[in-house]
Amino acid sequence: MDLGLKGKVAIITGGAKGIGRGCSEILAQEGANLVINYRSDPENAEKVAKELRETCGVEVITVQGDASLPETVDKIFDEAIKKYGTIDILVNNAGGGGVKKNFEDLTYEEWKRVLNNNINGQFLMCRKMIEYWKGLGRGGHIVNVVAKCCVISNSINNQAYASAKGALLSLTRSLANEVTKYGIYVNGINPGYVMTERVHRPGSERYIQKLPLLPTGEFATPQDMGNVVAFLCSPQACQMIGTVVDCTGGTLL
Amino acid sequence: MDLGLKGKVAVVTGGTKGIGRGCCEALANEGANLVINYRSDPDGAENVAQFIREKYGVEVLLVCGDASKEETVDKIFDKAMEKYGTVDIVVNNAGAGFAKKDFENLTYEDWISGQDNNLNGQFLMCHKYVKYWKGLGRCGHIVNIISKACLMTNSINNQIYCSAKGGLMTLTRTLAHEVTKYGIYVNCVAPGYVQTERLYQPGSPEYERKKQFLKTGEYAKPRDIGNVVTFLCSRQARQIIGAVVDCTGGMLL
Ligand SMILES: NC(=O)c1ccc[n+]([C@@H]2O[C@H](COP(=O)([O-])OP(=O)(O)OC[C@H]3O[C@@H](n4cnc5c(N)ncnc54)[C@H](OP(=O)(O)O)[C@@H]3O)[C@@H](O)[C@H]2O)c1
Ligand SMILES: NC(=O)c1ccc[n+]([C@@H]2O[C@H](COP(=O)([O-])OP(=O)(O)OC[C@H]3O[C@@H](n4cnc5c(N)ncnc54)[C@H](OP(=O)(O)O)[C@@H]3O)[C@@H](O)[C@H]2O)c1
Repeated sequence: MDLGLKGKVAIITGGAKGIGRGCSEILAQEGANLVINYRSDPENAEKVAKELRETCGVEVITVQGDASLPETVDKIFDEAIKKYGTIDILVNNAGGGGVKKNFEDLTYEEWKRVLNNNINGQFLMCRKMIEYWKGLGRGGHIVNVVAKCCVISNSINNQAYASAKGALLSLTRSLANEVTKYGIYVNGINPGYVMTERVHRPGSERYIQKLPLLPTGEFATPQDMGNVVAFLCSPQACQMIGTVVDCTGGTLL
Repeated sequence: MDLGLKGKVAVVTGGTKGIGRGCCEALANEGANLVINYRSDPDGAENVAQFIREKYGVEVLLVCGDASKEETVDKIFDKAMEKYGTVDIVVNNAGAGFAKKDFENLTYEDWISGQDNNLNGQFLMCHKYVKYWKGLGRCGHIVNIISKACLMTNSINNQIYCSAKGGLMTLTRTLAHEVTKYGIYVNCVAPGYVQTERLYQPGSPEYERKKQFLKTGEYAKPRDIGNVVTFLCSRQARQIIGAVVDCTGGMLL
């Protein structure tokens, strides 16, 4: 299936590790040029960029910064336009950093920090792109990465993260409702248990604990998520609007 | 993106017209061989089969019969096995709305008849497939076509159809829960307003009236639904399990 992504320009926040990296890889394999935002570990980001340039023959730039800050959002946008002159796709992947505590012990500062990282930065990125696309009278694609904890409440002591992701899910749907008429597609993916260095590293305690819960007997890979993200950015998915695709590997059943 | 469907065998019920045909063409475009069930208009069916063979270079077997009847389901599988030796994919597409009446005027026969066409035949197909597939230890796929009508209540005087589709949605999820461990992926797709030969022909009053509701300003095409169905049958979608994929073009927002 030719997803028609050759030569498109895609921004992936937090795109050098984990699910973000999976999205970068698959979009590059489909021929998209990339803007990879990362926060820490510049050597890793450079390595990923080089690898994708070499294996996929696409162009890749990296932009350092915390994607929840307005100045980073501006910087990502400006550098993308400087390099490519256009932006077609935004993958709001950056997120995480939940604080697990009994609710009464969660401080307001912690709550705000988690919300910044999982919904406020995503708001800023979306607003930037909508302003840009609408201004030019052209369309684009946004894919937001939510989490199953906003649909199912089994992730305990995790209210800040779950609430932020719930907000992102609703933002996805309500924004889609507003901007579809401008040709702007807003969708989301809902990952379940994805094997990444940080979250479910093979052999880690969390990995061993979660494995028996998985209906397929396997963790998802970041590439699995990237495949769905790439599909959502294609014309083939044109009837998917404000859709949050359940990619939880059956863990919501 | 290579979906890896070359040489797979896909059964599509009610596959010579409308959304079913869109599914057949999308699957054939990825190299899948087809078993197309149809109910009426054998000449039309033969034309479609020949068109698909020539355009996509795949094999096509036609099986006539009402897919809500046990003997047809048996016949579909027997003929498929005879020709191809396997069935990898089942798309339960056959189905249709029922005469719209005030609830109190519905007869029990109406109720049963609508249910036969939209839920019971699909049960029989799933049943047959799972029985066949369970011991094989390979990946197989079922995709059920439901409708937005079972997710929102704006389709009035339509309880029979809505209820049956709601049943099919829940069958999808509960069956996924049971058979994922055998490598059988079960998902469903909810179309919104899809333009077919039968529905929403330009110029009809229905066409103009519904058009105002469409978020994109355009009707979906059968192929749009077929593309999503096809993606769901791929390895790339392997974390999508028991999912209800919203392809309503934003109608549920
Ligand atoms: N893994 C799962 O099972 C799972 C399940 C559901 C949802 N998710 C969601 O999927 C997304 C990616 O998660 P992941 O599992 O791939 O996590 P990960 O392995 O920790 O990778 C996340 C990457 O994003 C970066 N990042 C985080 N916040 C950022 C920010 N504000 N600005 C810039 N970069 C930022 C991180 O940078 P640093 O390296 O500097 O920390 C890291 O490189 C998150 O939104 C997460 O909530 C993951
Ligand atoms: N079009 C939409 O907007 C829409 C929206 C939501 C859901 N859907 C669902 O999508 C599916 C396809 O609908 P469509 O709009 O493509 O309808 P369509 O244009 O009427 O085509 C349906 C095809 O399936 C056949 N069929 C129906 N029941 C059958 C049975 N029991 N056995 C064998 N063949 C059967 C029909 O045969 P005949 O020609 O003999 O009648 C017809 O060829 C249905 O399940 C429908 O409920 C459609």
